[in-house]
Amino acid sequence: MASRNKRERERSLRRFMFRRRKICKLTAQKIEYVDYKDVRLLQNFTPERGKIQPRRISGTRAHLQRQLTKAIKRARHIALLPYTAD
Amino acid sequence: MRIYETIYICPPNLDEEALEEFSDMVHEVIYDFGGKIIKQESWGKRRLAYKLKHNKDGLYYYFLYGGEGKTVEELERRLKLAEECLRFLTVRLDKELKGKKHKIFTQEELRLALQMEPPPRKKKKKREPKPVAAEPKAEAPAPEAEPDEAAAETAAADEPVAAEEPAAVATEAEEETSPAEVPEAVETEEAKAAAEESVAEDPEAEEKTTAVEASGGEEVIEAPEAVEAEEPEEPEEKAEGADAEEEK
Repeated sequence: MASRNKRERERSLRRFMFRRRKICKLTAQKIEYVDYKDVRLLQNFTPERGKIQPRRISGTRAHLQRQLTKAIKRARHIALLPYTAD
Repeated sequence: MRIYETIYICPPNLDEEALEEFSDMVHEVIYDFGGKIIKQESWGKRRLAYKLKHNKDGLYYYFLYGGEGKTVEELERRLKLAEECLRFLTVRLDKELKGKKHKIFTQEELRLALQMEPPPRKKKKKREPKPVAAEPKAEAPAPEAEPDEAAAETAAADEPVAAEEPAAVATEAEEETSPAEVPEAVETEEAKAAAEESVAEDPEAEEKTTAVEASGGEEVIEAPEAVEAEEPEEPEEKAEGADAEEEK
């Protein structure tokens, strides 16, 4: 009984929480190929530490996220983006 | 031929001669191994994201070229050996950009640079002239349709008469409210009704008109209500007409 009540409470809480719909930034810009040379663009997806922002936060489409990770890794290789930033 | 792009980074403390020599070497390698340069760019001095061999800055050079596997193989071997090169990266573009929008190069640029022949145009299908066979078919249905239409028109013309008649009565009633617009319509409708009834050559119809005209003054008040209620139903109205005749 208690567990069910808890679940219900959580559900109702979630309903009350306001959640903005995520929009894929790359799709919005009509980008089909994520170029590793476009540092400005890639920096939008690398927070301060220089990590790659996960899809669950940025809301990027799956195929674009795959391109994005590849592009960021390439950019890191030729020192356009940092591997880590302290 | 495949399309590649290569970026390499030189240390910033190199003198210009050495840099030129180095880029000349890259040129040579590409052309010697069956490649063609499409675009060559120098990005100049850039701050590196991290230190490379204790260099904070680097000189970036960008080559876009067509070539084969062996071209890239040799170029990368040279770059690896060269001390002037801190880092390099080669990407095969034709595979990556397939069917995607991008700003790296236009198809025109590519074609001009590689001196490739324009893509072969699709052969136009020979259209065999068949106007003789097609025209009679087109013409044939037309004459058939015309009489049908004419018949339909006559049928349609006959039917509205019944509908217009009461409508005319209704308009007569409305004349009182809007005398400016209606009278013309009433006149025409009456004329139509008279003409078409005469065409129909029904003695009864003629009697109808006379009956209506004779009783018009009296019926004006009563008729509109009946007409409004029963407008869509033509046969009943006819029946009414018949009733009126009987009464007369």
